[in-house]
Amino acid sequence: MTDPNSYIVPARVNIRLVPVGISLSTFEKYTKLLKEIFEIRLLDVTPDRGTFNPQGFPYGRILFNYTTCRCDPDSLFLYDLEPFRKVFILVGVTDENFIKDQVLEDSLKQLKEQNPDVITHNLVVFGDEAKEDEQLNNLENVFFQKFRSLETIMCDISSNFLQSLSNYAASYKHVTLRSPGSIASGNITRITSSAVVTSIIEKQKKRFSVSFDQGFDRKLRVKARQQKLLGNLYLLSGRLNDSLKEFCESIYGLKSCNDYLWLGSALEGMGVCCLLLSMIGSSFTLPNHVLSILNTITKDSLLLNLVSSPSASPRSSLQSMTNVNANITTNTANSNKEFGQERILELLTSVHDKVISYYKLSIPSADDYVPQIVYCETILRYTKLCTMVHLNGKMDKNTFPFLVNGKKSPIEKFNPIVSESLDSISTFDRLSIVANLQELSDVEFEKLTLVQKCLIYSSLVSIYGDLQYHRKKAFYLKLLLKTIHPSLGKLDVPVDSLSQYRELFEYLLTVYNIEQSSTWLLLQKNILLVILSFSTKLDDHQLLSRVSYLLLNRFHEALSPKEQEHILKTHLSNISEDQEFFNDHLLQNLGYPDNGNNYKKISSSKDKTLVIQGESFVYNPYLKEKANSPQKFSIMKDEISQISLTLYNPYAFELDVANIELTTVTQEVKLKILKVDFLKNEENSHFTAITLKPKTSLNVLVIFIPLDIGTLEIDGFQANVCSCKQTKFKVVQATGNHAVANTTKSLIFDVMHPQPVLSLTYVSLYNSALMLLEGEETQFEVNLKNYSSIPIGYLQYVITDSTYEPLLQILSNRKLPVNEIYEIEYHLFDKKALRILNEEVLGEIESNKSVRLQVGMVAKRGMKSTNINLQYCHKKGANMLRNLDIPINVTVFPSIELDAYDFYPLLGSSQSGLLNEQTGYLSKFLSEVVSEGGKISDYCVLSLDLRNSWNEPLKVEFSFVTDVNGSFSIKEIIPSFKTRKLLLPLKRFKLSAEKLSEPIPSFREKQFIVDKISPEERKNMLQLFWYRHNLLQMIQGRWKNEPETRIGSVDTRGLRLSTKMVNTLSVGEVDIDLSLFQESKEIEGDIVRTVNVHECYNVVVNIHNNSLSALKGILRHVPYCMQTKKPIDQKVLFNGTLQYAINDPIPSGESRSFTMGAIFVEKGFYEWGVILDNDDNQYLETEPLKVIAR
Amino acid sequence: MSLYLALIGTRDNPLYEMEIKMDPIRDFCPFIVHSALDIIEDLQWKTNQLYFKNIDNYDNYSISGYVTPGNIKFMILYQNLRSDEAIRQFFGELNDLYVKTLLSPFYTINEAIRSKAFDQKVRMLSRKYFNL
Repeated sequence: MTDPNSYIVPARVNIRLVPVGISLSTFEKYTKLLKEIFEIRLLDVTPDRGTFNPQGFPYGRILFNYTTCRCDPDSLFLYDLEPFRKVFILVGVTDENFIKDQVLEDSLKQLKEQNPDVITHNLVVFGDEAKEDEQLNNLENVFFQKFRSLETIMCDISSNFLQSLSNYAASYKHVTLRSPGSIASGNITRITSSAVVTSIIEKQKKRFSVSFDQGFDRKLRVKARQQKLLGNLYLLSGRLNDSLKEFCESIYGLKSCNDYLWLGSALEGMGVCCLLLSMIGSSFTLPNHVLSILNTITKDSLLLNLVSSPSASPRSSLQSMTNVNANITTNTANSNKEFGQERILELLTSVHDKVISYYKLSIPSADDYVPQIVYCETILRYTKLCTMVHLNGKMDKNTFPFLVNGKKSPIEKFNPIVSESLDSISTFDRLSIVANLQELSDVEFEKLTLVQKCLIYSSLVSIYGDLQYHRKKAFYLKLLLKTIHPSLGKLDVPVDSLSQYRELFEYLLTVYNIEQSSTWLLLQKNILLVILSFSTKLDDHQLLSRVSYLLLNRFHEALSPKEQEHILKTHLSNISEDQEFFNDHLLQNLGYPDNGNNYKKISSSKDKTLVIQGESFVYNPYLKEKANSPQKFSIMKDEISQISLTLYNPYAFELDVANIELTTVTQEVKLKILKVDFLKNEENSHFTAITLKPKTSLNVLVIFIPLDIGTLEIDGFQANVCSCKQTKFKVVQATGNHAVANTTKSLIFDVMHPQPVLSLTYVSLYNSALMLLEGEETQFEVNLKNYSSIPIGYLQYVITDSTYEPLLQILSNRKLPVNEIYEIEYHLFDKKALRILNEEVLGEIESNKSVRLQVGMVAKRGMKSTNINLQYCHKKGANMLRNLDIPINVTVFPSIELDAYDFYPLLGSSQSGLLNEQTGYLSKFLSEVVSEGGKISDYCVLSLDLRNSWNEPLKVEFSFVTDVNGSFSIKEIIPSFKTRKLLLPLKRFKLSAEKLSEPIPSFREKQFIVDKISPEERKNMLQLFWYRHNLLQMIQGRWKNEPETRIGSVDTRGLRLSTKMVNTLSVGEVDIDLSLFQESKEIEGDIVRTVNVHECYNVVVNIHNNSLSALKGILRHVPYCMQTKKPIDQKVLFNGTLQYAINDPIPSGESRSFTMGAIFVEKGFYEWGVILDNDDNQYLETEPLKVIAR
Repeated sequence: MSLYLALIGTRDNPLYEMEIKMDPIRDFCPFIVHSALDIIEDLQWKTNQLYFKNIDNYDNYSISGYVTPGNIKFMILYQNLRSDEAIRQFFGELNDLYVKTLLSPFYTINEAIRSKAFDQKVRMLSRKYFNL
């Protein structure tokens, strides 16, 4: 096909080729032959007598432009202004096979009827088989290829055309030629760019203000337009001299009446005329009025030189114009010389600038404005010429064929690596050529018709391609594709022709650097989408698959959900069976879930950096294991293991993942997959296929069995995703450093020999949970079974409960006093919540044998759960232990709580105070003590306020040791949510100093306890601790409900002793008893003794030394009368002194009595006390002597 | 008045993009600017200057450019901007900002500029010079 925007298009005669009764392929074959003939010399054309007689200019040529399309209805209005747009000749193409049964005249007639717009109708019959028939040969306008060559046929057709053209021209003689805008009344799009229009109006105002009168000669304009039209027709007919003459005359007239549109068009026609004349080596002269117009070019030029390097532009040079004039006015006789390339180019440049200038001046006109398509094509035609000259380097004979036949310019292949600059050899600089195209910015492409847009875009693609502006070319190529696409139906392109399209798309992919890297996402995505939609129309599966793969693989983030779904659908319907999934980064992480049902490895040597050399250790830091060495997990052969895969679906559509298989780095260990589970799935159902929801990640458990012993390294998985071929997925860890390649993550397993498997089969508790009251004791059973074929030779267990953690946390406080540490350690280590009652069964468990464990349980306050952790292996000393946990959930409610407590001393007089209902048992006990010869003061009372916090009455029984062999118990029913006070008579006891100096023991066997307290405090703390320790061993409280469904113990650890309590509880170092005798008879009484006044009595002081050392000191008698204020020596007469020293020490553990005679002189109530002053201490009597004297 | 600014790296990769009131051709702006790279790459060897005014246009939109000595191109696509001098000064200050970004140890040449401070400052510049 000839170039539709060649500079010489105004000189081309359009020929429409129409098939007559032949197939498309045959038609294409014949048209190809016809299109070889693109020009005819007038010398070869039969002369006629018409206006366009070829003999008028025998050196002229008729140039052809073949088309197979109907004329564009939008260009009908342009025929008057640009007659070369019209199709003048119609050639019906047929062959002899068709005309056998047809009458050729009828066919010709039919052609005429179908194409009334064409001025000459011809029929060319191809083929050699038909018999020679004179009658056929003489048919008018019917040509047989076998009789004449195609060139001759085309000469005859041209002759017909010239004859018809005379008639056609004659028909215009009495017609007033109107501008397209006037004919189409608004159907022709015009340039509306406000900036351009405003500037032109301003120019015109200036012009008119200084120019001649506003009125213009209508007749002159009509005539000038007629001349311009005639010029165009002469140009088509090849009579260039007449054409130039007509154009020059019309220019004069048109300039006179300021008819800018027609003037521009006439100038353009003149330019083409000049070029063709120079091409054929003919001289020509331009009249002065034309030269004067061209001379003012720089003054009137509205073109803005937008490029900042104007020095290279050949356009705006006055000096060069002078040269053009000089050349044009001089006849050049030597036609064999080169055409004066620079000068003709300069002339054409001037002409083009003037054309554009006049076209712009026409824009504000109401009717005579330049249509956009005319304006565009003028620019494109000139730019094409410049490009061609640029590529050729000069304008010479070699350029002419390119101009005429429109064949592709010499440089046509895009090679992005070679960027050779052609500027050095060219006349036109690339930038100045592109500057011409900037005039197009005034054009609103959107208002053009589809065909017009496509023609312009394809011309721009061609120009930019020739100039090696690949980005520009790609830009307009994309525009072209996008413009064509919506109006395209399904394209039925043969598979062989697809390569041409692919080449085009390949070009786009290369220019936008799409396959190499993702640099400009938005840009590249849009290009890919255009290619995708176009290849859908082409039904090119290969390209569709490739482009959709690219889009989904690298541009999914820039795609909307709808686009993604559409592309996925396209991709899946076009991929071949052996194509892998488009994204191999679905796997985000690999993990080894650490479930409790595992085992721990016992390292053989604790520290590898310690090397034993003889008797000493040597530290070798180089033996230290690297911190970043990969972690190895131990698993057993033939045993179920699992691995978790974190999958992420980055797309907006669901992904179906099926047939998951784990991939290993080496084949050393084979594995078998049992099932694939969702981690989040509560029902634990298993799937062979997984659906990944859009934009979500999912943890998937793959359960497998290693079948061999060795090292197993799992680096990912392979699966069929979205019905694609099985694809491998690995975890890629970005290093964040461009220099270092990304690495993949893998999990390394050490597959070991099989080990026994102990499993929990039964727990005699509903749901492994219990509700207990605090201190309650219960039992349950646990069944365990060794499921493996390997016996368990070693088993140990650890019991923990939920109170451990908080207690350990408290224990970590280093400022804790020692007694508190003991208390916490007691709860941690001594007061176990669980106890296995039949430990003996845990020794060895044969394969496939069961054992039943009896477990005792005590409910501890705050306990929520408890656990038995069994650790076992096939024999003792094995390097790994396997774990089995038996967790029990417990809810503990409060039962009997110790609200308050205190200690009270007991005196001889106390017994009577206890004779009531509540404390009768105490009185009775004391009576028994007295009857057995004991002393009441040897006892004290522990008062306990116990609260029943449970919702049913509980029976509490407290027992305590009274003597070495004896014990006593008290029972009390405490109603629900009530508090009761229990009084427990405790025999006071004394701990030896040795015992009291013992340090507080530690359950953890901590060796060094730094004690920062003072010795006094320490002594006091030890005293309190040991007395409490002994006391808690003495008393024991238990409770039960009615009926006896729950039994438990009362927690007495809440008892904390104060110094005062210890003094009450402990036996003193010195016991001082007072008794009263009359002669040898003791005066007795429960509380008070009665005596007579003026009688003689003896007050006996019995001192018992309980201390470890001998006792001596000063004994003081302190009698006191309560009724009178007289001095005591006036009331009681003493036999001796009231205070005296005990000089003879009382040995340890012995007693001594001291007697003092006394006579009560006055009646009254007396109290007699005694004080023994030692060096360090002061001791009082246990109970003062109370006497009533009568 | 509308503006689209793109800083383009040496591999035709955008380092930074900003668009103000370009709604009618928002998706099309990168294409126009990308195609203008051909022109600016040709022009930059013809002169010593860094600023190239009005190198290309499309549909009443103009393109001006600035090539840094490191061959990073600042391209603006605009319509009805005030003056060429304002554009020149805008590019000058933008270059200062870019050089400061280059000096950051956390920025590698030819990588996208994601700094919010840079974005804020560029928008401030566009307000200062173009009232946008």
